[in-house]
Amino acid sequence: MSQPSFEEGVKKVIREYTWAAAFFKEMVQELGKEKARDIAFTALCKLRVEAAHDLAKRLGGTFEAFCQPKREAAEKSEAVTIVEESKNHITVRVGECAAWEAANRLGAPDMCRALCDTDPMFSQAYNPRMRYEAKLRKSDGDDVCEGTWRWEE
Amino acid sequence: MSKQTFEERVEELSQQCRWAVAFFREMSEDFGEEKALEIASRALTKVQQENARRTAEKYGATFKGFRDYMREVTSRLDNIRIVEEGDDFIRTSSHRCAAWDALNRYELPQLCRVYCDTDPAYVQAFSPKLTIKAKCRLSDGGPSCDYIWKWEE
Repeated sequence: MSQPSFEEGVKKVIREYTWAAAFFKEMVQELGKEKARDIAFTALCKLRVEAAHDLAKRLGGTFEAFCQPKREAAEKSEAVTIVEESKNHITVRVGECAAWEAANRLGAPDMCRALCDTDPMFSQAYNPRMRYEAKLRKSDGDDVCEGTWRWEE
Repeated sequence: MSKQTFEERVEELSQQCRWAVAFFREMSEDFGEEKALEIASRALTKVQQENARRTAEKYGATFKGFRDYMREVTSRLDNIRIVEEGDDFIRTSSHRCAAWDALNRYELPQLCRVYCDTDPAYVQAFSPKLTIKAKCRLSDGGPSCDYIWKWEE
């Protein structure tokens, strides 16, 4: 099966985010941007921690298994680059992010920022030994997203 | 377009409202359910109005356009059917509703009621000449969702 294009991916994410973006925008209007982001962050943390536990169950929770899909993505897509890699760290740069693009088109860029803020929790929920640090984020105005996952022995 | 099964539609909708449901739960915890439902209602009204505008753009903001749209929907979905059609009205009946099932999966029937209450906003956004009257709704404990969609010149 051929890989879906970035635009197809964005459209799929837009369908998934439409209700959430509408809720988020109303929360901003009613409760203010900061409170809306707090609520979105707390809610998304719970979802992503759950997703990380599922992923760990599926992949075995090892660092190697976590890195492999990123290597495969880099092979398939010019938008994904493995900047550096060792036994216990991997730095990935992403030029195109469907989540950011979709949230932006839906007029809810701050919802994407809240999502990006949950990345460290996602990583620790995958395995308590894993840490994530973002260096660049599209949601902060950078041209690309770049971050490093580290495995602490 | 191939006919989508009801279960596929429920699954799709469950995914589409997953984040919004998570936001709703956090809002309810922080501000109480009443406030959360108010915010959800405004958000869903806007989503529905946008859907209606897009549908009107695609099919035409006329009774014929609406009827064509309903015929397309009923040919694609196996849970809704046209019971009766006249020169200026359509009667539909859904013995099952994907939104009702999806939101019940999250144990949030009250959110579905709010969603159903946005129907008048939907028809008004399609055309101020279109009206909707609910004979019964699953979300009110009815055996089905039965609507009369009427075009008023």
